[in-house]
Amino acid sequence: MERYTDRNRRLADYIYNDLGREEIVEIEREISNDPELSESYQFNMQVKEYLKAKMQLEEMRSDPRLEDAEKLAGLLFDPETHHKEEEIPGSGGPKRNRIRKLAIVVAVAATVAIIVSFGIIPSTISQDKLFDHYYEPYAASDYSQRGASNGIYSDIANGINDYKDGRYSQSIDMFSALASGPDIQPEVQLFTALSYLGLGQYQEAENILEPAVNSNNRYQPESMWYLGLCYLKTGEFEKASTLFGRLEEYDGLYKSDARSLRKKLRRFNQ
Amino acid sequence: MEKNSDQYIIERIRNREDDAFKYLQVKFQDSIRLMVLEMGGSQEDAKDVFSEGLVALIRLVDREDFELNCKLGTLVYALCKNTWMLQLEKQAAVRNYHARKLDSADEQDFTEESDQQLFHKIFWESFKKMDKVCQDILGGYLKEISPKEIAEQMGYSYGYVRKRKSMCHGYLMKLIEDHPTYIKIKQTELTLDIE
Repeated sequence: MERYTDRNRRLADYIYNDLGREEIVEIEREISNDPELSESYQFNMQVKEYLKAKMQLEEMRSDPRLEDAEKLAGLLFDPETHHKEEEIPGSGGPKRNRIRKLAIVVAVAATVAIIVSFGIIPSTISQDKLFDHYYEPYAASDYSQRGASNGIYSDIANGINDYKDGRYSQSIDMFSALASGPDIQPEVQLFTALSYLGLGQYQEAENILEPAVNSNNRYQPESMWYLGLCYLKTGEFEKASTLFGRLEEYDGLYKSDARSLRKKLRRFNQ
Repeated sequence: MEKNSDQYIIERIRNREDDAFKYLQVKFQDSIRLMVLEMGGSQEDAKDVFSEGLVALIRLVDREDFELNCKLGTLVYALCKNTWMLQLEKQAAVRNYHARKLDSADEQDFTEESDQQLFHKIFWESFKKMDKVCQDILGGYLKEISPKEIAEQMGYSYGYVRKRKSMCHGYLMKLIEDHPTYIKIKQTELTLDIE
């Protein structure tokens, strides 16, 4: 804490609303007259605003009543009732128009707040760009040809087709309902993980793929590639780089992309 | 009914009072935006998700059988998360029809852009590196608990909490500036400036 100074103390007090009126006037004048202090203030505010949002988000995620909230929310989002719920019970045209207007007001206000709160940090996300650049859904072959008459293989084929068509939730449901015997475990693991990846649930995908990359199953390269992409997305760059390094050893589909991506990751790995 | 209690806000939403929506925006918009960003969305997505989440909240509280049995913030989170999950499924279906982009076009962009998620990771890791007292004091301020209340909860004096808060914040900023990734980003920016 050796760099702690009186000005930093007052800046912290200002940021956390802990100053008296006169002190506020004084520091606001200093901020407006000193570009370096102004930049420091903006960066400090970004840190504070981020942490505030992050703590609230973590609180919501770990709320013991989250399940109740999800049930309530589910009343509107159940796919079977979704269309019906578009209608507002007991409401006429003017009320719907009012809601639309409110939505526009909220949207405009949200845009302004986003611009204000992210003024200094660049809006583009290079790690996301990298991910978008390299990620594409796995091009699965038609699994149904392998044994359409068998119930389990037919279910697997349906799950894979759900995945291929972007119906990731259905795919997860299908695979979770299957008893994962050793002969079908690789498919169940891979496509469940890929479906989570498709939904943007990277941690869930990682949890499934991590054991798969060391299990010597037939989808090991695919598991490495997609786990590496998960790590890229979640900011675990060293892990991603290690996996892509391993993939370079395979003379296959991912060799060239893995090498190229690993080079780009060097920036993050310092 | 206590002002700004969850039930109070629900009543205001039912009556379509604008201040209720402003309250929800100020209170929850940033954390919902962060949720969307963490789940792979963009700023634009976050804006849409929050708006749609609030419209869903209106529809929900208008139901005759609606009864709030959880925190309002957690309900907003659940509604927005559902909205974003549905959005993701739609986007994924569309994405499947697009051919893969060729390598090289974005290479220049990548090296020249900083990364917002990278900053977020640095901020959070630095916060988590602080001792528990600092985390609790700053956490209390960030949750808008009054310094007096924080002092009472932690068994400190009001003056100590105020002073320690400033020190903890200073320490946090130093941890951020000393973070290896932060240093690397700054070095990259410097190099680009010189070029």
